[in-house]
Amino acid sequence: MRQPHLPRSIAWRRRQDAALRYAALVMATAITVGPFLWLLSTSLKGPGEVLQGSGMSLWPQSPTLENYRQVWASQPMLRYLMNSMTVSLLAVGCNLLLCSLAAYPLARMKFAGRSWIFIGLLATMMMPFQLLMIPLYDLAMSLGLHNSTLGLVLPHACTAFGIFYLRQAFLAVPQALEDVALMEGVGRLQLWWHVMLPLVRPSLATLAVFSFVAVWGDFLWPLILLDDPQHYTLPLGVNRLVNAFSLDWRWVAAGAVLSLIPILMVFVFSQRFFIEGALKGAIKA
Amino acid sequence: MKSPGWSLPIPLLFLLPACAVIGAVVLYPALRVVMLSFTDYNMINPPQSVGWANYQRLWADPLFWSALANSALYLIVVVPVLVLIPALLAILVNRALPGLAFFRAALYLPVVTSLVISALVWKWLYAEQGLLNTALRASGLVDDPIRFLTEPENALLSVMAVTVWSGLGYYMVIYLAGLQSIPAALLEVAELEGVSRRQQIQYIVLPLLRPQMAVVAVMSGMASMKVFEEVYVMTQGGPLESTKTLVFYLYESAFVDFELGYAAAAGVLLFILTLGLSLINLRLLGKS
Amino acid sequence: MQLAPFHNDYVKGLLDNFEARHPGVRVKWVDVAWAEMERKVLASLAAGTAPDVVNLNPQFSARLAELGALENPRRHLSDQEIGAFVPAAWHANQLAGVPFALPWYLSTTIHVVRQDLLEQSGVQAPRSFDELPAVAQALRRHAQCYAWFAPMDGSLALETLVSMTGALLSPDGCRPAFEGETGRLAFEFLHRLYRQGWVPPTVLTEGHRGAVQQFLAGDVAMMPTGMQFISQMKRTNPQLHQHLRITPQWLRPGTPPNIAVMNLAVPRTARNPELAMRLAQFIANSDNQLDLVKRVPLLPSTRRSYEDPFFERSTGDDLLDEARRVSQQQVFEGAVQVPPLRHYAKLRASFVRQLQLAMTGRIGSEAAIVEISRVWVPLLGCRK
Repeated sequence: MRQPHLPRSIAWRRRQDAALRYAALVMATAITVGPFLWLLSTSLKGPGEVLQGSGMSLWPQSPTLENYRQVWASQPMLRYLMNSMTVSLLAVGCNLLLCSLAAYPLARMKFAGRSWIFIGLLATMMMPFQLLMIPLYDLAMSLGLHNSTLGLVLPHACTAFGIFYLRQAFLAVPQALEDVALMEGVGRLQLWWHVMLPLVRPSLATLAVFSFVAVWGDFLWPLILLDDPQHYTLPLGVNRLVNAFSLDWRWVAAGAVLSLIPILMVFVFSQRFFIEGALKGAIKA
Repeated sequence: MKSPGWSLPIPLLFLLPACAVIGAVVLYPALRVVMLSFTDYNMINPPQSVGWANYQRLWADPLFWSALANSALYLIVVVPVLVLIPALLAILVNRALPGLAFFRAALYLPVVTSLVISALVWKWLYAEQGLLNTALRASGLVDDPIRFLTEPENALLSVMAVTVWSGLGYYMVIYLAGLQSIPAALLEVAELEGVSRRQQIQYIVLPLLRPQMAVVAVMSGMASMKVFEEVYVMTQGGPLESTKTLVFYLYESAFVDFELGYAAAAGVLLFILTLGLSLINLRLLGKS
Repeated sequence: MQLAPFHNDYVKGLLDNFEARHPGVRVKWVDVAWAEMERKVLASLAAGTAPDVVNLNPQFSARLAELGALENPRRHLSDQEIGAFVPAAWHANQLAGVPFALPWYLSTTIHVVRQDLLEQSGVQAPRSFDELPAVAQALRRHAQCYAWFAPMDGSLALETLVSMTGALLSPDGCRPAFEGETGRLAFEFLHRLYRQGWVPPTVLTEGHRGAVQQFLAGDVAMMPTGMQFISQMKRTNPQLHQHLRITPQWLRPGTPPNIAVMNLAVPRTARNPELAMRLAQFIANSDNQLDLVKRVPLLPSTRRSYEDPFFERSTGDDLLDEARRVSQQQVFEGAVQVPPLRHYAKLRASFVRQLQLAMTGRIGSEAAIVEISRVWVPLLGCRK
C-alpha cells in the first residue's frame, strides 16, 4: 500500500530513477532492435540504392516491395512457413507433455536410480548436436524418417533442459497442496494433470515459447534430413537464397524478414504470457 | 494411505516416455560416437578400429589446442558478461512504468530470431563498408575502418559480441523471474532509510539473485562451449583459425575432412571438458 | 546443382527425353545449393541413400574417388563416347590415371575489371602479375579501392600460385613446384599485396562469393572469375555492367590457363550403374551440352559442340560475348591447374594456412614453404 504523500526526496529520486531507466533502456533497445531495422531497411531498397559505404542511407530513398515480390515468386515461402509451423507445433506439444511428465517424479518423488537419471540428463545437455548428428541421421534413415516431419520433430520431442526447467517449477509448488490431495487418495497421474500442471502454467507457457523458438530456428538438422524442398523449413529457405548464385543482399534481407514475421507474431502474442508471466504481479525490485 | 511398494513403478512410468526419446535421440548416438572415436571412419567405408590413435593425434595437433584455447577464451569472456548484464537489464525493466512492456519485448527480440539470420545481419554490419564502420567514420571516432572479422585479434571478440547479443534477453527473463521472489518491502524500507539506488542493487538485489546467477553461469557456459552457427556464418573459423571453436573444429574434421573417428574423439574430449567445467561451476557457486 | 528454379524447363525436358528413350525408367531430380552439397552427398552416401548420378565439382569427387566410392566411367562408355570430350576435361576427372566421373560443363578463369576505376586512375588493366603493383598503387591513390581480390576457397589459392609459378608439382610429382626461387617470389608477392593494402583483408575469410559481393559494391577493382558469373553480376548491379571489361587470366608465360570442369559421377552404391552411367553420358553428350550452354553462360566439355554456329552469334550482351570469347580461347590451350590428387584436402589445408600466415607476415615466405613441403612430401608419397 502506498502512502498518499511520499517525502519529497523520495519522489524526486523516483523520477530521476525513471528518467535514467528510460534512457538506459532506449540505448539497450537500440542495440537489440537496431540490426533488424537495418535488415528491414535493406530489404526495402531498390536496385539502384547503395547498400554499403559512404553512399548509403539508413532508410531507403524510394522504398519498394519488389524484393519481397521476387523472393516470394522464386521460392515457395508459404510452403516453408507451413512446414516450419507444423514441425514447431508438434515438437512443442511433445516437449511439454514428455518433459512435464518426467519433471514431476524428479521434483517430488524419491526412488532408486534417481540421481543416475539426473546425471544422465545433465550429461545429455552437454552433447553438442554436431557430434550426434551422424549416428542420428543413420538412425533416422533406418527408421525411414528421411524427409519426414516426424524425423524433424524427434530430436526436439524431449529435452533435458525442459525437464529441469519444469522440475524447478514443480519444486516451487507448496508441498502441502499435494499432501492434502494424496491423503484424500487422489492418484499421482490425476494429481499431476489436475493440480500440478495448472499451477505451473506460466512455466509451461515459457517452456513452450522457448522450445518453439529453438525448433523454429533449427538449421543443421533439417539441412541434413531433408533434400526435398517441399519439406524445407524457413531457415533452409532463407539459406537457399543466400547460397543462390545470383546473390543479391536485398533479396536475402527480404527473405530473412519474411521468415522472421511469423516468429515475431508468435512472440508478440505470447510474450504477454511469459515475460509478463515472469513478473507475476509483484513489481518492485 | 501411503504404500511403500508403490514408490518404484510410478516414477518410472512418468519418466518412461521422456527417457525413451532422450535415450534414442541423444544417448544412443552418444554411445555410438564414443565407439566411433576408436575407429577410422569416413562415412563411405565401414569403420576400422584404430585404438587410441585418434586421441594421440588430437593431443599432438596444435589446431586442436588452439580451438580449445578459443573456446576457453569464449568462456572467460562471455560467461561473466552474460551473468552480469542481463541481471542489470532485468532490474531495469522490472517496473510497472508505461511502455516498459515494449522494452522487455524489444530486448528479447534477438533471442527469438534464428541464429543463422542474426549472424548474417551482424556479418553485414561488421563489413569494412558496413553500417558500423560507416557510422564510426562519419562520427569521426575512427579514421580507418575497423577490421572486425578480418583481423585475427578482433575476430573472436566480434563473434562473441554476437553470441552475447543474442543471449541477453534469454537470461534477462531468468533474472526477471528471480526478481519476483525479492520482497518489495525489503527495498521499500531501504529506500525510506536513504539507501541509494545503486547501493540497493549492489548490496540487496544482486546477492539475492545468486541462485539465478548460478543457473545462468552454467547455461551460458555450456552454450559457450557449443558455439557454432555464428562462426559458420560469419568467419568459417578464420581468419587464421582465430575463431575456430571446438565445435567448429569438430564439424570440420567430420564434414570437411571426412574424418569422423577423429571428430568423434574430439567430441568426446569436448564433452568431458564441458561436464568438468559445469561441475566445477556448480561447486563454486554452490559454496558461496 | 543449383539449376533450379531458373532452369527447371531445361532439366525437365532433358529427363523426359531420357525417360522416353528408356521406357520404364523414372528419373528424379534433386537440386542442391552449392554450399551444402558436399555434406549432403556425404551423409547420403553414409546412409546408403545416395543418388545414382551426382553433379559434383572435381575436388570433392576426387575425394570420394579416393575412398573408392565412385564408378569408373571407362567400364561403361565406348571409346568414341570418351573421345567426344575435350581431353583436358576428361583428364581432369581422373585420379592416378583412373577416371571417376564424366566431365559436364566447364568454364575457364578470366578476369573481370572495373574499367571506370582504372580510367579514373589513369591506368590500363594489367596483363600479368608483374603489371599489378603499379596499377594497384594508382587505384589506391585515385580511386581509393582495393586493386584485386584473390579468392582462396576451394582450389583457387593453389590455382593462383600455379598461374604465378607455372606448375603445381615437380616434374616427377614428388615435391611441390614452388619450393624454388619462383615459389618464394610468389609468396613474397602475395605478402606484399596484403601488406600494401592492395588486396582486402577479407581474402583471408571470404571466398569467391564474398569476392563478387565486394566487387559489385565497388570495394575491389579486379577479380578472377568464370563467365557464368557475368550475368549474375549484371542482375545484381545493372548500373555497373557498362563499366566492366574482361581480360584473360594472368599467367606466367608458358603456363596453360585454368579450366574448371564440373562433372557427373555415379556412386558405386547405384542400383544399376550401367543405366546410371547411360544417364550421365546422355546429359553430357554433345547435343545436350550444347543445349545447356545455349541457356546458361557456360562452356561445353564436348569438342563437337564448339563447332555450332551458336558460338559465333552474339548473346545479346557485349560483356558476356567478350567473356565467352576469352573463356573459349583458353579452353583448347588450357589445363586443370590443380588436378585431382590423393590427400588433396590435407595438401590444400596446409598450403592455405601457411600462405595466409606468410601473407599476413606472421611467418616468412621461406619458412612457410618449408612447412608446406614438410607436409606435402610424405602425402605425395613417392619412393625416393
